[in-house]
Amino acid sequence: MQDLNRVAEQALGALKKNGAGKAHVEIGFREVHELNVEAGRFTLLRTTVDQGVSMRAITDQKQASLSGNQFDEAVVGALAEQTVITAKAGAPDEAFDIAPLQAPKKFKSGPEEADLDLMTEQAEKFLGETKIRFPKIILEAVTVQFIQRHRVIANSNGVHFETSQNDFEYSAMFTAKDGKKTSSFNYTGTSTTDFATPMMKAAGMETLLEQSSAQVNSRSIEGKFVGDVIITPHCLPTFIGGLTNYLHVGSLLKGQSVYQDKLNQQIATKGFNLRARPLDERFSLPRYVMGDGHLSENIDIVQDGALKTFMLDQYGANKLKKTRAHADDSHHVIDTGDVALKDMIRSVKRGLLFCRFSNGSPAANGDVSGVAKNSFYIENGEIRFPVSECMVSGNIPQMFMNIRGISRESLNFGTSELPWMHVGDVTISGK
Amino acid sequence: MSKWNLSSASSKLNGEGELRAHENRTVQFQMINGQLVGNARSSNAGLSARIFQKGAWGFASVPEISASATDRVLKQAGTNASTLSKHVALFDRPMALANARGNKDYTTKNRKLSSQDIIQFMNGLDAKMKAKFPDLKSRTLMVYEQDFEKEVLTTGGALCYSMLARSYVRVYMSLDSDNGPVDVQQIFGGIGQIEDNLPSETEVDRKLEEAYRHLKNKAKGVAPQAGMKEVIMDSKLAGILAHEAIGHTTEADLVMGGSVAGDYLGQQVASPLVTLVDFAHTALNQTCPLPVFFDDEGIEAQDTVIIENGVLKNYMHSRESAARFGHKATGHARAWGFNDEPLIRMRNTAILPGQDRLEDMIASVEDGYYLLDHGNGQADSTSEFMFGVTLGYEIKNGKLGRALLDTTISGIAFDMLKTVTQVSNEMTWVSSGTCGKKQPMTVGMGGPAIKCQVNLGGR
Repeated sequence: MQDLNRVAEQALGALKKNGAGKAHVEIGFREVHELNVEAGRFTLLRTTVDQGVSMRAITDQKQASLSGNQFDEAVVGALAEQTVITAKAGAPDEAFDIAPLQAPKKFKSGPEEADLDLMTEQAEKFLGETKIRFPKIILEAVTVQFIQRHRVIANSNGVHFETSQNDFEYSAMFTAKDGKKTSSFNYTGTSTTDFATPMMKAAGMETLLEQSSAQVNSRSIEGKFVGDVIITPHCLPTFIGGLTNYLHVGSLLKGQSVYQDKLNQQIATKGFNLRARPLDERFSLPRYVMGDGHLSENIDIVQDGALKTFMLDQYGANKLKKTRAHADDSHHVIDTGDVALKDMIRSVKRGLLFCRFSNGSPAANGDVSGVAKNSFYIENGEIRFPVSECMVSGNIPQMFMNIRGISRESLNFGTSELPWMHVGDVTISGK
Repeated sequence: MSKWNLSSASSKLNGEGELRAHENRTVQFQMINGQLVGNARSSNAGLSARIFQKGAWGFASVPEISASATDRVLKQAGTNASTLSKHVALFDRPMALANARGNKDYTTKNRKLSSQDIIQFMNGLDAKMKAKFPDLKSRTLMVYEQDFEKEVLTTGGALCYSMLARSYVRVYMSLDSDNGPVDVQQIFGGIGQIEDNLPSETEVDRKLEEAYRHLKNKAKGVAPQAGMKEVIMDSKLAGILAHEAIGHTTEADLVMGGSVAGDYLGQQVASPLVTLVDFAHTALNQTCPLPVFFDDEGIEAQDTVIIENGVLKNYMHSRESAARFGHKATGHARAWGFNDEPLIRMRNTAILPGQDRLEDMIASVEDGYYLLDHGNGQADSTSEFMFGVTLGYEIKNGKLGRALLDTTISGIAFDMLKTVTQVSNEMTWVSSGTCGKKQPMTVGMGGPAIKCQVNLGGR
């Protein structure tokens, strides 16, 4: 690995020399050791190395961002020159800026070295156990990685942060097959620093394999009804993304966010808390520095149902004259509630255990529809059967106002921790 | 013409494998309501090697293209293959000889445009929209280009250079309505660099007028009735149907992973009106929207007939999957970036046109929907598909009615295709989307309008 600080210094120097009034650079290095399984057997072992230099120049309040992956001094110099030329061709905007001076800091997380033997051993155990305990399952694709990442973030205001973060990451995608009967595919995965927990025991893997095995016998629901859904932790990110998307600069700048004027107002049922926790010790891969060069903090996005912040970076905050968020839109935590999952299921008169959503992009007003995948029909408090050809339609902002309960249990995915969430009044339609 | 001259490394490449020099470049501008908010370029280059040993692949890549980088990636890929081969069952059935040779370069021959030229074009387009459509709530313009430059050398003797580029102008416009904001998009462009694809004023005027007319209708739109309905899917939707609903289920890696298509080879899976082909580079005597002449394993790309007159005929293969199935490799293995291994991917997937006229098809529907444009889509191993529908109209007694708000359609593809009763005599292609499957990939999708039954999301 080359000296990233030297490259950062060269890049900043070259940007200034070429006339950048303000300059921001991010230099990165990434090495990945990756074991791949296809159709239940090992197929590929990869070792990939990549690096990157990203530059942002502001001159006369005109901005451009260029990036490349070559570190030769001449190449970095040429990229800096092009960045400034491209910025000068841009349009001025008073909102363009770089992060202010903050005390330099170094951050480190995760193990030093890849442990290929441990990765292979854990993967072999998982393949073996799946074969014995879940004979209908075909492991379509399993990926086990050790990722080393180094970043230097610096700017012409004197910002200088270094991060070195390593972790193991794995995911499995699978389908169950019983004769000619096939389940929908499903997947899960997580990140870990010690890889001590068996793959079967993390990220809800075991439950999903069990559910998929049952889903070869799925059937459709007759007709259409308005009912409840219990959204599982695997399915929740779709809805969290649907909510936070309205808090970003793109949606707000167009003036079409449903939460445009809702700061400190109720946007979800009381008791609902959504947080961004980039520094949370529960997570194996913290995010110490934000994309725009500010240090991250743990923040509350929605507290007791009220919107506490827009997810604006420095540009968005300047442009919209609002307060910037002190975390990127990641590392989500939804606080657990006081209902046991089994009691939550018991409380549903008619609805779905909603495990995966294959949905269209939500409309600007939040309307969303799609297919409930890997899901189960619930009637009178009991899970009845796995469903197929079942559509769910609703409105994301309204769904957050219709939360009936949040489970005591939750799942940790390495960079998020989420519970089960009971939502009322969605349209569920079968054939 | 290749700037890397990989052929000089042929003596270093032993055993079964390939070496690939690869550079991806992007240019991207974004403007919201007349304000330039995105002005970015990127380049990512490197060298990779992939080696096969006794049933296991080893892969290595570095962000450098040089003689010493060649030595390093070949050594590491060989070590990786050897390490993994201890954990796999021996597979020594011969794979297709990778010996394609060729040179395809889509670098523009027009004068290169500067960032200033492109921003000037965007300013003109934004000003035109503001003047012509003053009631728009928001105007968003994107101009972007992606270049994929590669050279592949294989032990079988393949030496293939390509510089494929695609570029687009995307226009989004939105209006306020009683149902909240509604939007539509219009896309210009295709194969080639920005210089080849900036639309003419006449084309812009025509297409933006059309998009605005749809937007005004959508502002008064209604949610469709949820449930099974008779629909006319216009050509853009037939294209994504071909790709998502059928194409993915017939990729051999997904077939091995449990796709339902694994049980249907040689069987009737669709109406006899349906023929579906994954074209390599030329379809119906015209160049495909994103032509592929050879793949990243060094195999010459050939058309693959997936469904012929309703019967499932073939899967799509890499060299290894073709050997495992005893089928022919027709050039489907492609990699997105220099540090990606080739995966089985579609190229230009299309349902072939039929004999019916679109007007007659619409006139034949008593109570249904005409679906014109799509958003995202997703497939499943069961062949159950879903795509977002971003533009559509009611059909009542053979006539178009109110516009639809955004919705979603779904169905089991191998059931739904049996409900096809009419296929129009014209087809169109789209190529601006990106398919996701471990890595992103450029794909073309095409088709005629088809009449069929699908499940609609709605109220």
